[in-house]
Amino acid sequence: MSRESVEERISAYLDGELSAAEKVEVERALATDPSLRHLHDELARMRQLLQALPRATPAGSLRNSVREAIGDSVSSGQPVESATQSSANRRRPRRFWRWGAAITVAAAAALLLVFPWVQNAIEPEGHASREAIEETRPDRPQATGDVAVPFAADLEESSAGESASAGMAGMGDDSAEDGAVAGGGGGGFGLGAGMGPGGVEGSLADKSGVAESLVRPSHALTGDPASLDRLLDTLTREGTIELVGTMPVEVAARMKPSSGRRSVAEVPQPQSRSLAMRAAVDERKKSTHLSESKNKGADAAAAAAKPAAPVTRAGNEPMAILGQGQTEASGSQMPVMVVRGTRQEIASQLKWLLRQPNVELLVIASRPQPATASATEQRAMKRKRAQADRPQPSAAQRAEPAIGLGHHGGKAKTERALKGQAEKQAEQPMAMRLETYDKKRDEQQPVLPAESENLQRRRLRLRIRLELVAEKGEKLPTATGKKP
Amino acid sequence: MAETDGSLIQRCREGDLEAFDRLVEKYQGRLYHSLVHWSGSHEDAEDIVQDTFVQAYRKLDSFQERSAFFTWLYRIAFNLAVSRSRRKKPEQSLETRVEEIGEEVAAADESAERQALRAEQVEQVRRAIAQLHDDHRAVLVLRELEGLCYETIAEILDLAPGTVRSRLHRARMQLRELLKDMLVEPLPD
Repeated sequence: MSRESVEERISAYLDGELSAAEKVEVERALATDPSLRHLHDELARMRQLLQALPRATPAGSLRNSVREAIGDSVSSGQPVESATQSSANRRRPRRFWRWGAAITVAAAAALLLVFPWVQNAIEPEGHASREAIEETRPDRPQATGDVAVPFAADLEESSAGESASAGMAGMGDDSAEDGAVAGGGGGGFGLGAGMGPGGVEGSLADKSGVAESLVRPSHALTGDPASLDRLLDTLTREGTIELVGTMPVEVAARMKPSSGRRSVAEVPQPQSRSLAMRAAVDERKKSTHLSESKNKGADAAAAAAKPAAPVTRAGNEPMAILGQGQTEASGSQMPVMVVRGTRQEIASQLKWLLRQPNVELLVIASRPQPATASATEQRAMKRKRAQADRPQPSAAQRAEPAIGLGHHGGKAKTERALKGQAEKQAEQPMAMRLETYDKKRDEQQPVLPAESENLQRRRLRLRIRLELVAEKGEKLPTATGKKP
Repeated sequence: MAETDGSLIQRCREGDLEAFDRLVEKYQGRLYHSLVHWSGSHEDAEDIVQDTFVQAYRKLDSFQERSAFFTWLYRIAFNLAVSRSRRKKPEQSLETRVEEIGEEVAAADESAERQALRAEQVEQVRRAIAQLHDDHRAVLVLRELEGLCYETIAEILDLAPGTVRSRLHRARMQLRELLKDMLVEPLPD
């Protein structure tokens, strides 16, 4: 018998896990070999040390938090899921997404119905309206319900979805024999959670679909130079583009320009609860605020309308991270990070970011609103456009591969798209084709990478607004998105 | 008279949430203790325990009572913990991010010096545990902290009992190396 085998038996001997015959053998070996006796004594001492570890206890009973997490399914009469059902769910992971979408639509619609006054409150006038619009989120009462609600529903996968499914989204490793459950729970479909562009509109879905191929709503940005170039080209044209990112909190906190100038970072601390729990709590808060706000009246409206902290830019620092886009109405957080700089600086920032582990960026894009249009006018315009403009994607558009994630179009295709884009943009209205987008999303390959469904929980979701700063002698696009 | 797990589970299946509360109260402490030492973090342990109970509730119909409820619960918990760990890819190693997870390390009547020494020992042991591979740490925690037999550990981790034995041995040998300075001294009384 090898030495290792004897040592392994000594370990099992200490555990009382040997057969009678093995036990006799080990005892004989211990009696004759001092080194084995020494090993035995050390292992016994080590056991003492391990068993002397103080008992760790949770800060409080988890009963309530567990109840809260499972409460939604109970209150909605959802039966306890059987193993068969769960495996069916695993085969159809989009079910959670659909739940999330439905709940978000319902929540957003309820807020719109109950609080029309909030809509007005969150729309400052003039130049400030652009900030307000960009800060508007689907879980905040929307100023542009006709646009923002469906988009919010489309993107709101994590919080509502996980809440609705009582934190079970993302489960995937079930393999236990008696139908027992394995892990992976609450993987956290982090991208896009709570992040509608909220009233922004862009040249993302021109009738031709060409612009969409350039800056496709909700396409993932990769480190691929072509993808990045397309983004930067669009940024040069538009002046502003908005991304939604998920990244480890540490990465967000370390974001700084490649030139080494330090940026200002205000990011929320990771919360102690799981995403599932947080989502459940968020949902609960939403409903709580719904009732509380009835009494709070104008105070709540004012709080909901509170814009993000102003841009802080020290000297020539190209980037600043703004305050969190926290809303009274939602109780959830979505920090907004503004990356402001020249094309080169922004490119450098994005390249750095994309090199970091566990970073995913999703382009949702935005175009600055005309500063002169009032909020009411903007809503009316959007409704009008949404009704009048319901283009269906052509076969060619449907065949257009998603940008990023290895589904890049060929170079020639990209060049054709670039060439035609300017003409198309001039001709086409720029309403966000949400319905079209929804439809295409179902028809095409999922835009998000598969691994997004398994995003780790301790990531930060934030919106990243890219704002182009003019280089010397360069003119930037105007508020309408056109270069002068 | 305390209700058995079986009757509580039956009540849960009939929609009695209070029965499930009882199960949570009954097992949360044990589960939490193991997971704190497995994950090195109160926060992670709490999340995993919570998710474990949520999953257990939702999957209760699939529990066929061929094993003890707590074994099934542990199985969910450790699968969740491993999945979470694989996803997490922390920039810091577990060893360096291990939290001050001690509760009341020293007894009230101990001298300050002894308390400090004991706290130091506890800290070293935790750091050593954190350096073990996930698989080794799991068997070690279940054996030494939970006192479970090889067969139960094998059931929880879906391993053969022989694998449990060999992993446990390797874990101990590694730990022995990491704690060798401490193994020559007796524990303070």
